[in-house]
Amino acid sequence: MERHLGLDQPWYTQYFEYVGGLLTGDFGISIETNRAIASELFPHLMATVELTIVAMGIAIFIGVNAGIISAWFHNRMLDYAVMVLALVGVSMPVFWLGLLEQYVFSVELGWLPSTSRTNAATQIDPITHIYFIDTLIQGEWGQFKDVLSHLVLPSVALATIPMAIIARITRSSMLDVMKSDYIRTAKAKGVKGFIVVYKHALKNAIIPVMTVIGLQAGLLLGGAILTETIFGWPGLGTYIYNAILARDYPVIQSGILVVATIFVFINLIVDLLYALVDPRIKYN
Amino acid sequence: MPQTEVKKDTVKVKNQQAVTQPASPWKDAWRNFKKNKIAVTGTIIVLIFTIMAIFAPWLTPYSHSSGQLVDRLQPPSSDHWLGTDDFGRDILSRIIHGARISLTGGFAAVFGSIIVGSLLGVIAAYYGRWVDTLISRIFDVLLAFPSILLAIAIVTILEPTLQNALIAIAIINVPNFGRLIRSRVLSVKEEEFITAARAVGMNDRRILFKHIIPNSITPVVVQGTLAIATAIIEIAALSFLGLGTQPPKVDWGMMLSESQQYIVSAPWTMIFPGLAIMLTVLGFNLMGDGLRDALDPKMKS
Repeated sequence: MERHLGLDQPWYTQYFEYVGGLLTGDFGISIETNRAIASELFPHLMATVELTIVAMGIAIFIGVNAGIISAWFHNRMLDYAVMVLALVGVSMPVFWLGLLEQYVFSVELGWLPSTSRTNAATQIDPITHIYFIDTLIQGEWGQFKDVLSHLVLPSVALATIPMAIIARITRSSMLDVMKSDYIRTAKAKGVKGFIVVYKHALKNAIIPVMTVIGLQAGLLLGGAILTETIFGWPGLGTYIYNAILARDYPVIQSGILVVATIFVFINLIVDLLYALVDPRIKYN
Repeated sequence: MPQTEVKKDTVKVKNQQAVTQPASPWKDAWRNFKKNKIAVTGTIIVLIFTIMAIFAPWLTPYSHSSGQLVDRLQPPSSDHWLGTDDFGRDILSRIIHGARISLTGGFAAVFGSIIVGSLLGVIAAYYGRWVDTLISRIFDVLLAFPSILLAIAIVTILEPTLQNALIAIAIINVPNFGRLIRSRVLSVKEEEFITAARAVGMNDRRILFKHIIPNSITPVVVQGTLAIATAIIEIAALSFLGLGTQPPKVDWGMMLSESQQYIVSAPWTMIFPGLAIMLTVLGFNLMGDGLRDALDPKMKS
């Protein structure tokens, strides 16, 4: 047993073997299921990726537009309404919002399913393990609809806080940019308001927003743990949480490592994207 | 256009006051804060919950930890304003008692991280070189994890109790305060009055406590208020996952986690504790935003 687990080796040899394993995609063996963690982890990871991508999409689309509307109607009723909503959104605990959604849309109205990724009867052949892509590739429309209907509630719950933060930053950033000379010039030349906002102003206003989006994308991974627990979403959060309950340390360790790695990569990508959006920033 | 006029007016008023009475920056801040209706609303919300927490045993109509099974899962009525839970316990009484853990917990965790974070930040900035590098890298490592995940990991290693949950929340907030203080001290350190103090012969410790820390405190006050809001959500989140408060104590996150099974038959067990969390957090957020505008007019959005 001792030899099998490599416990007869000195600790540094064990450590280097572990790191070497990580680099070749070997995360070790789960104590609970006795299976390779890497193969167990992958589908869970993709389930979380699916949830966070959709949530981030919702948060960016609604958040940026709400911020723009708010800036456009500065100091009028619509501005106040959006800002109050954003403040409530920031103060909302994600697990409560999830429960409220389940109560309103599943229990009372019965419009949407409240748990898991698909109906029990639906069998999906996984290719990427991101179900809405898999079903699209295979052209299974019934399954695609089923997958989407399961996605709505958890992704909206997860999107709320970043949405509110993005809206607030977009608003203040837009207000700054709208004061600048080139916007006044554009307006004076008779460019339509819609084009001034989306074509001229947004380009400069989006940079601080992107920083926040990057930070929020990382935080979403944390928020996903709570959201997944409530909605029974079989993602990385649920995987780590169950491992914690079972005291399955190799799994906890690998799960946290994967999440932290993704988190760091997202921040790197956001840094690189700045240079793409703003040519004034250069990296050597 | 009308906006710039308003701004000119306020500038004038401020100048006149400055001439007639030399006000301290804190007095100025208080005057600005009072004018901000939203911030005052937030403060009132926080005060109400604080009073609830302090006087909980005298305010609660029923016991928070025991109830009559006959009364289980009653909807809100004149006897039980917010209904009862699965053990027949009065939800209003439990929410009032729960305020104690949320507020003292939020405050304690943030206070802990301010102390540790400030200490590390000041040391890093003041001594520079390898000390700075070491401390800054520790902050980087802590920031490389999504915070709630790190908190969960710490609690798992330590054992799930309320105290450990608070320690975990304090740890995840340390780098935020540390970095804030560090950058603040770095800029204050270069000011001329510090050079003057050193020329007069003040020692390091005296310069730190008499000059540098008092000049770095305002952003910490603002950040601290906002951090209490997040800490309250984090405590509730850990308790919700069963990693925080343990019965017979009561906490809003725990109430939510218990209510999960009764979402269909007794939705009030889920609605009210969540509402309490949201209102408290909203109160602290409003107050923090108001403080930032009042203490640092340059940051005003």
